Amino acid sequence: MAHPKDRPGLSRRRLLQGAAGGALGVGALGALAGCQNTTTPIGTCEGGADSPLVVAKPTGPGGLPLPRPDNSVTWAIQADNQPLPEGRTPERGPLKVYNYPDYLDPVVLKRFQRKHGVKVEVATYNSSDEAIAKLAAGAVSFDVIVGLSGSNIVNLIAQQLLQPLNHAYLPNLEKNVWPELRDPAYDRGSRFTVPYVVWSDGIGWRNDKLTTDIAAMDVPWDVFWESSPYRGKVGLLDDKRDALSLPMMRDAMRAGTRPDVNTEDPAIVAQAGRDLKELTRIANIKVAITDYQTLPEARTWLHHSWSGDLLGGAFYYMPKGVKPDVLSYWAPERNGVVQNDFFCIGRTSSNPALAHAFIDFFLDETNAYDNFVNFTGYTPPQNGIDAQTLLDQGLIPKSLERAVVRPEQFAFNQELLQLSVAGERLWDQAWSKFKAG
Amino acid sequence: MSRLRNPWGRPRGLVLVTAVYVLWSIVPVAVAILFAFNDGRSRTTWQGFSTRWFTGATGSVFHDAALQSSLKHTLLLGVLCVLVATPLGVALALGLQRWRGAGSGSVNTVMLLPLVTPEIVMGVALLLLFLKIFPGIGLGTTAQVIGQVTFTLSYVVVIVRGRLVSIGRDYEEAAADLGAPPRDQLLRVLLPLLAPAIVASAAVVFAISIDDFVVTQYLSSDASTTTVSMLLYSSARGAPTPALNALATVALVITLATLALAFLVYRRFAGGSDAAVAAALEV
Amino acid sequence: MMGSRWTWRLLALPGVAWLSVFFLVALYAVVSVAFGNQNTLSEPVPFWNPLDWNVGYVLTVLRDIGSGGQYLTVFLRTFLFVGVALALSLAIGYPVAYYAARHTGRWRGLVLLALVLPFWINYLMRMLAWINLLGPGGWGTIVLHDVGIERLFIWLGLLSERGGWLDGQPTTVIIALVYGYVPFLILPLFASLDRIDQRQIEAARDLGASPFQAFRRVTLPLSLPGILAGSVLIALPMFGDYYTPDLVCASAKCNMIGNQIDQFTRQGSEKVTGAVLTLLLALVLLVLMAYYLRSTRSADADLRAGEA
Repeated sequence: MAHPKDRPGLSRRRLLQGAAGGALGVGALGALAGCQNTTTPIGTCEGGADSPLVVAKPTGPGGLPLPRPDNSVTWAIQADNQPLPEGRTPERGPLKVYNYPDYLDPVVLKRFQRKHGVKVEVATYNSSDEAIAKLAAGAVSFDVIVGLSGSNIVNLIAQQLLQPLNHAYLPNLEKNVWPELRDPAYDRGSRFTVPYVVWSDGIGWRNDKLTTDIAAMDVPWDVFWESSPYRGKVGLLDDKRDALSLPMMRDAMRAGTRPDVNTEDPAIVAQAGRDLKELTRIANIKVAITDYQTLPEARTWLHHSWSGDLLGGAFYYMPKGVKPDVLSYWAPERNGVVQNDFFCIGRTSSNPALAHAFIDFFLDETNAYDNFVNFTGYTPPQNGIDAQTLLDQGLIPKSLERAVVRPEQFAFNQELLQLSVAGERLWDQAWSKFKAG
Repeated sequence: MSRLRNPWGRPRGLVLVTAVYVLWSIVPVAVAILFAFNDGRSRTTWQGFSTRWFTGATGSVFHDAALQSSLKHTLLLGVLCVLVATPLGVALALGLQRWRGAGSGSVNTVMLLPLVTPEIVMGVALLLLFLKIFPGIGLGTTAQVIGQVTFTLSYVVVIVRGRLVSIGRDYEEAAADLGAPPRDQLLRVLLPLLAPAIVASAAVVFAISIDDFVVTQYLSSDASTTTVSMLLYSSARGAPTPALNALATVALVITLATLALAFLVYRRFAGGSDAAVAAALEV
Repeated sequence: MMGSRWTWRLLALPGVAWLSVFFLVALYAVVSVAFGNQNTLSEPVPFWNPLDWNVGYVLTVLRDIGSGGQYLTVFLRTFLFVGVALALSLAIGYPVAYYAARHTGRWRGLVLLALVLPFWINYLMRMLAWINLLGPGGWGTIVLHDVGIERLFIWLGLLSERGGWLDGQPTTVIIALVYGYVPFLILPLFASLDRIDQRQIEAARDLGASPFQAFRRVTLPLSLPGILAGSVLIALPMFGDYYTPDLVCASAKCNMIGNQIDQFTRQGSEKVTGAVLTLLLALVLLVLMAYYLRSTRSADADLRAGEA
């Protein structure tokens, strides 16, 4: 039964699938009245009719449940989207990879291309929002998607953009990857995703340009609001989740509490946006993800960073004659953001066996190590890579030892996970308000 | 319009301003081309002369698949755009110029609108068009060509119409008096007379298409639909090497060569250099 | 007479059809999405029938503008940048076009070539060239410092710190806009100045006017249509520019309306709001266009009255 208000582009099947989360019932299809002239998304007007006996868990895009540490999710494998059957040989390619820029070692990529006799084409996105928008538009078909994380997983599943993985093709997963990450809360059983690298959110700086000892401060996050001596040389990550969580972590640290970086409290999010806006006034802060280049080149001196950027900068981007120990990094031991991103395979991939081979290739210990130490700087969750050894060998300067993430850190810190549709809008609004200057 | 010599002497101030402007305009690009030949990875510090970013073993234009593919795709789009926009635009120019009666004013306005519409408005509009109205076409090369043709059409029309105005109807009427049927008048009299303008507009369309950024980026799908402009933009914010300068230099050389070729063809058709320049200025 | 009038309309038909579909319908798609909604998967859903239009998003944006919120700030800032850039472009472009049109004689071809050359160089390459020069240690930064311009700008408050040309300076954005768009102004100005009959100026001089008076009372008014046309030609596209501020200034202080539209549409946070902002931008530009058309019509009338 189609309601007169049903719009093209929104099929009933989609709505019904969304009902799996419990927020929409079949009867809700008819109740779009009262939703005119609003900004409420179609299909959520009437709200959910859950039982009053339980506090409803938050739901996200498509009405799907939001993974949280206390609410792990197992994604169902659909009849029309089965994992690749066993025994297939890798296809001819070319393999289409969608990734952040400068996030896969070109030398290791060449190695893969030579081993399988195929070509690899890498297209890039500059923010996870952009990637989801492009993938969701359905206009592109990628074999392997790299760099998205638990803050995007529900979008990917809700819009049915992924195909399930067949672990028979991924022997290195069992062999090499940290056990802590093999069964994440956002994808129990690693049915659709496999971890790529781990990182923490922190502060990167040039210790030869800054006089402050950031690590020794009571609340190191405050340094951004005290950075007017370095006007024009301060940077913030161009990602709304990471950036807005910065003032939240600062406030929590001041108060000695644990922040909720997945909060949907309008007051807190709006306040975070206002706090960031102050930074434009104080330091004319730049918004970019290029700190792995601008810090080594001293185009920025203080940057909100992902830990891997500092190591990558130290390994690969130092200009001639500048030693990597001018770079420093700090991240909190507890109550910060420690996260991993993942590999996944596009649902419409025409090279699924090759895609699996690609992922397995990068889970191999030598390749993961080379990718890390020679180029990206992001720690792969490999059992065989020992941070301490790297430090002892002098590969990583002492000033950057906190940039290497250890498996124990996951327990004391948080991940940025997917928000509900309303929550996403809250953060979007605060972020665009900040970016508008 | 007379070109008598200026009766009150040389204006030194204006000469200075113009000279400074020309320098300001060209020198940065010359420097960028210079650094394409830099020996090191820097784009600001000169480290010696080398052609490694053009032909070197790693990371050069000739050996980097991504850079090459972007160059090929840019040229592909340019050629396709010219092939579609030029005939379409010439026909539209002829039709518009000779249109009598109702509708010509509004068609004229619609034709001129893309010239002043900001590219981002066109980019958003075309993106939504290919996502919501023509999802069968979707994003990618076809969409990029269609988008580029849509806003370069106006340039063809304006250039060809300008030439039409100066040609007038005399030649066609003479041909008609001599008994030529309408089709012959069009194909054998008018079009050859229009040839310089057609060639000029084709060259303009090619140059605009190669330079285009916003619409091409909005309508691109994956790595195979990346153009030189898109690569320049994304790499400029990341970790650029002089290979980027080399890529831009190669694209520039191709554009200039095409234009030079078009100009030579144009001169031949228009019968001599003076007539050609005069005709160009009529345009 | 060649062919019936239908021949010509038939010839024009493919072009008209193309523009109708890929321009007019595309614009209508923007309108439909702006008055549409999005579903729980954050995809935009257009409402094609005007009777069903949802004004929720449009009202949100208008309310924000009415209360002096972020969109108003960005619109005003864009107007400011474009206005200053246009004024500077005219100040630079008019003398150059004037010289090229009226004085060059023997060197005419060469000067024309030099003026036309920037057209054929990729816009982004020209911007990149500037980024190279203005980076720390770049030749441009060094020259600007040595010549004293840097000190002047800091004194005027146009530059916040030494060598900080690329560190979030609105000034750099305006200069980059001028650099990028002034070639597109010079050519229509040149065409217009070139068309002015030398004899009219000589007549004025014969009647006793000084060179300056002849310029002010003959050349300038006659070149006004060209000034207006050129201004429209560069100002309107400048309004939608987002890549120039993005490249030379990554800070929120340089955010133009084009950046906001790009943020919402391509970077994926909310395509419906992006469509609303696009629609608003198009309407603002339509008003400016209408003003331009009206003023050219009245300028033409004045000229004709003057000649009578």
